[in-house]
Formats: sequence, structure tokens, C-alpha cells
Amino acid sequence: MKLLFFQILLFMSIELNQKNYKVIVGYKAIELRDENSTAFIEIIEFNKCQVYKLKDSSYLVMPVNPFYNSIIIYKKSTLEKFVKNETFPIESELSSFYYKNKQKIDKFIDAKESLKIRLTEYINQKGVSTQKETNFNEIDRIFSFLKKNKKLTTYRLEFIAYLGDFIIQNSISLSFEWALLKDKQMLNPNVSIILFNKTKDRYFNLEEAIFGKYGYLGSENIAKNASIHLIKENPIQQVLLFGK
Amino acid sequence: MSVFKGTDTFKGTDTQQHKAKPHICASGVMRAEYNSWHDAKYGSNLFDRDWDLGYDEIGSAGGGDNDISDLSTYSGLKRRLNNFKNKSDTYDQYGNFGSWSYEWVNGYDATGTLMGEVKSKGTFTPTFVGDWQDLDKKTLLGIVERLYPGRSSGKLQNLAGSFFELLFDNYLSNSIKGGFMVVKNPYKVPSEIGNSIPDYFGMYIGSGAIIPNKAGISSFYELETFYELKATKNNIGLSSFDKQLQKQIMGAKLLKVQEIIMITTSDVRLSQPLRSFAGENGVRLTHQVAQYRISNGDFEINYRRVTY
Repeated sequence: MKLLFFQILLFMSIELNQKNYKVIVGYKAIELRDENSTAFIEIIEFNKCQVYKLKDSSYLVMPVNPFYNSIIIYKKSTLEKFVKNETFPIESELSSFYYKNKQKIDKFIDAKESLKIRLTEYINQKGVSTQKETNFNEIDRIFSFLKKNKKLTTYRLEFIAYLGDFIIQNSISLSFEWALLKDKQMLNPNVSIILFNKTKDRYFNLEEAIFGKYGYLGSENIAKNASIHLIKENPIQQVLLFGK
Repeated sequence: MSVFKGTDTFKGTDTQQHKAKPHICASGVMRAEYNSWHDAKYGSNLFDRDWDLGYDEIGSAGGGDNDISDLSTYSGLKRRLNNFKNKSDTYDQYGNFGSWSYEWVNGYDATGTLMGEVKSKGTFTPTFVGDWQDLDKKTLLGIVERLYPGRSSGKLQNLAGSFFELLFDNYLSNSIKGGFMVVKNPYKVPSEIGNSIPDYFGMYIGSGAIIPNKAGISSFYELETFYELKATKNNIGLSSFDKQLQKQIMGAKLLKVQEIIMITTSDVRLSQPLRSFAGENGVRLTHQVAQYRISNGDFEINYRRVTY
């Protein structure tokens, strides 16, 4: 009986939320803005989204990247609540890994040693590791093993920690440090793990280099790219240094 | 043993000014710097040079004869160096204008006091600035092969694609100024014939002041451009890459994007039907090809507009 009561409450809550906002696709939002908006209200600081007021007094919140979904919010208080919590009720495949692992990624610098141990234990247990010292071949062998056994998502953070620390230790002249990159293209910003060069004030997106669209190019190539392809953050990106 | 270092540099005037203006912003200069470029040893004329070779050249430049006995004294060395520096043709034998840095052990101090023999080696750092050269697919693969030796041809193709994109990222980091930004895009753009994912999009951003958008309503960002990068040796038409460009043109029309900029290696042409299709849909299709040059030992990237 109690369960039924809570289910009804949950249903009512969802219904209520559905009345409070509506998610729309990017190009529809552009049409709506161009045809039905009356004023540009503000830029939301945490995600750089634009807020427009529509003719029916609702609010249209559009992300920087116009291809992502936008949201129409019918009450100002609801909009304020989302902004205060720094979360909009929209899920994206692109940022789902971050939000599922937010706690670990936000404290990556504290978690990385235990992540590396976890990976080492796993590969030792599986008999993958044959060498005492880490090297590029060894790292590539670990990656291939994880891929073959469909464990790349399970050990994604572990592998980033493992490879990243190896690059940091072997690129002393580049003075890399661990950092996060907040990309504010979407309503809920995505966060990637990067290597940051403070002297040059530029970063290398390690997570993208490993899991990005070109696939894994090999640890040695990634390390090489880290030394020559340093990127400056753009106006909708924010480098987050640990402990700052 | 006392060890001290001496340096002397010869700097030339860079007469090769950046002439190409990137289309993506009015004031940017495209430049990708490669800190480890010397390690990559690109090109036959950019190898590190050793002191012995420079020593001979300095001797030759300074005296014009085979008597190099004065090089064993500090003043003689300085005289030769100055003569070398003042000559208008102070290039190395490969035509590179550059600077020598050298050190010596137990040599001469700054006052000319004899401290011992000049023994150590120096290196030549070129300050040569080459002409822009078109970057075609074969050259790109050659560069990638030098940077990442020993890779299979399949891997090299992937690396070339990735490298071409990273070059553009570097370029953006060095050239984009306030008022316009180019953002890497990971998201699908819809169209009537399917989705496509433009590599980047460009938008105007308000810097304090709010800019009016196309509908006349104030806005902070205004989407302007799609960018699509292709490192290929093939021409691009309507059906290339699973109709990717066709989809992007239709997506641009849907999203009211005015322009698509194709950035390719230099051996690519865009077909007439593709360009016509863009025009029919009210989308400007611009083609830029990559160029490169070696400057001060660094690899620089540039893009020039192709006219049809």
C-alpha cells in the first residue's frame, strides 16, 4: 500500500515537472526564438546558456551549441531552481559518462592512485602484465585487453589515470599537471580529464585523445601529441585546476 | 676546471610577412608551433648542425682564407663572428639564416683572457622563414610518418586525420580573437536526408554588448558557420562520404547557418554539383586548403582560400 502511495507521488511529481518545462530540439528552438521571443533576458553563468522570454511569458533556455536540445520553462521559479542547482533535466549521451562518474571525476586527483591500483590488480589477475616497468607497449597491451574484453567503460578512468601519470612522469620538461576541462556547449556542461601546462596556459585533452572520434592512436602517439598539440581554452571552456 | 658559456646570435630580418588572412577571423594569424619539431627533424635542411661545421663556416666567412689560427683566441673568434654576422649572405650552406649558440670549456672569458682551448660544440638554430607551401595529402602523410615512425599505413591514415584536426586546433588557439569563436562540435545536425556532424561551428559572441540576431532580437551568440575538415587526396562531391556535405548543406539551411567552410589538404577540389547545390539552398560554400612552412625551426600552418 505504501509502495503504491509513493508510486502515485512519484507519478504526480513527474507530471508536475512535465508541466513546468518542455524539452525541444535545437532547430525548433531557433525557430521559436526567431518567431516567438520578445526579449533576451540573460546569460546563465555556469553553462553560458541564453535565456529568452517568449510571447506566452515562458522562458526559452538555449545552449551555446545550437544542435543540442533546448528547454522551455513555464515558471520563473523553476528556472531559478535549475540554475541554482546547476542542473537542467536533460540527459545527453555525450556527457552521460561524466554525470554517472561525477564524484570520482571531480575528485580525480585524489582518486587516481586507487584507480591505478585497481587497474593494476585487474590486469595482474588476468595475467596481462608481463613487465615490471610501465612502458608504451605495456600500456597498449592493457588497452587492447580492455577493449577485447569490453571493459573499456568499466576501467575508463583507471586507464586515463594510468596513461596520464606515465606521460606526466616522462614529460618532465613540459610540466604537466592534472586538471579538468568544463565545456559549456550544453545545458549541462560536460567535463573531461586533461593535462594542463601551466607555463604555457594550454591543455591537452587526454580523455578525448584516448576515447575520441579517431579512436585510440596508441600511447606513444598520444604522448607525442601531448607534447606538440597544446590547446588554449576558448570562451566557453574552463580549465579547473585541482586544489584551487 | 672552470666552465663557462658564451653565446652569440645572428638574427636576420624576417622579410616573409604573413600575407594570408584566415577567413575565420579578420585579424588572426595561423600558426601552429611545435616545440619538439627539431626532434622530428623535418626536411633535409633543418638538421642540427654541429660546432665543427659552424666553426669552419665562421672561419671561411671571417677570413676568406684557410688560415684559421686566430680562432684560437677570443678576440680572433669574436672578429670572425662579427664578420660573419655583418655579411649580407650569412646563411648556412643550406640557405638557412640562423643563429649559432656555442659554448666552450676552458676557453676565453668575456675580457679576452685566455682560459684554455675552445673545445666544445655549438648548434645552429635556423631562423629561416620559408615560403608557404601547399599541404597535400602525400606531404601530410610524409610529415606524420616522420613524427610517428614505424606505424602501419592504416594507422598512418588515422594519424593523418587526427593530426590535420590537431593542426586546426592549434591554429585556432593562436588566431581566434574576441568577437568570434570556433568550437569543436560533437553533436549531430539534423537534415531531411539524415544527420551529419560538422567538425566545428563558428559563432559571433557578444563581448559585453549584446548583438542583434537575424530575427532582430538581441542575442549573445549568433551561429554563423560550419567547418568540415578533410585530409584526403580525392575530390569531394555530392555523394562523397555518404552524402555528408549534402546533409550538412541541408542542415545549415534548416539552422539558418550562412556558410560552410571546407578545410582540406591542397589536392582536393569541390565538385560543381556540390557547389551548385549549396547555392541553391542559400548556403555559401567556401573552400580553404592547408599550407605549411618552417619558421625558426617550427612548423606553421596556414589556410588559403580556393577560388573556383
